[in-house]
Amino acid sequence: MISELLKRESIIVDLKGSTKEEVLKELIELGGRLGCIGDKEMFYNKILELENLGSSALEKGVAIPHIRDNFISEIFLLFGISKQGAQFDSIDGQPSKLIFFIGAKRNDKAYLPLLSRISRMCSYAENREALLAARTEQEIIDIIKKWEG
Amino acid sequence: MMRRILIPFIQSEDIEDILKKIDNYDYKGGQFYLVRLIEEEAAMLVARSMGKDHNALISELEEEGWSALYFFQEEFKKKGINLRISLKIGNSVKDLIGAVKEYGIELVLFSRREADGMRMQAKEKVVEHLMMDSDAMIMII
Repeated sequence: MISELLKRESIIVDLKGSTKEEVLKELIELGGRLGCIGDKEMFYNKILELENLGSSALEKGVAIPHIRDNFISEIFLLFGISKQGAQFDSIDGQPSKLIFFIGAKRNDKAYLPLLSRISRMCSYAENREALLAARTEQEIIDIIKKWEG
Repeated sequence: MMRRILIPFIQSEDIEDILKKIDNYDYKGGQFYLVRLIEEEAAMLVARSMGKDHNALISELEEEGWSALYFFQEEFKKKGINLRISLKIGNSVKDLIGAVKEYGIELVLFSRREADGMRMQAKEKVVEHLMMDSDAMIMII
């Protein structure tokens, strides 16, 4: 299901930003170029507001900023790797290096299963390591496809 | 005012119950941690009794657990509560005590929700271990 949504063009292999704000802006820019994000500034403000109410970072260097609202027309998934990591205020204090970004309509049935599938995939060290070591967008898609079977 | 509050759960109904009651408490400014515990040994027994593959059952429980965590994170956010989520698989007692220490938890919240005898016994066991092995306060609401 992750691999059904994640396209090569939805991936940034080397995020340049070193802060949560910069990384979010890079991903939102990408979403804007792909046409899945309309008003980028409004989107950025909304996602930051949600982040301030509870970090989307999990343990072990993974963050999944996510939002569901009716101003989003269709579910989308973006993914970026930050080699140096960005501080997402995670539970274990580790900077986030693997950043999945999800947007969906408020009543989208695929939203929670997608979030939980990504969280489960990233709970395995071998998956995190493989994704971090990936050099191309296609490698990332192959790793996810292989895990999803 | 407690700053770091952990809510452990195995069944989603416990969190629904806490969500209904949380408005009665002064939680403003507190950092909440919602932790879904999966007891591996219990999952093995269930898998065996159902004739299911143990790993497949754990995967199902993991995905259900994450779904519940994200669902409740949204519900807590609607109340303006800052909540972080985590899922632990292994030994529930050890995992809970580990999380209390790792996150510097001051208060652990349990639901008073009526449950069957076995579940209540399990809750009592967890509370007993928490009292012995951690400095956190325990509240049953």
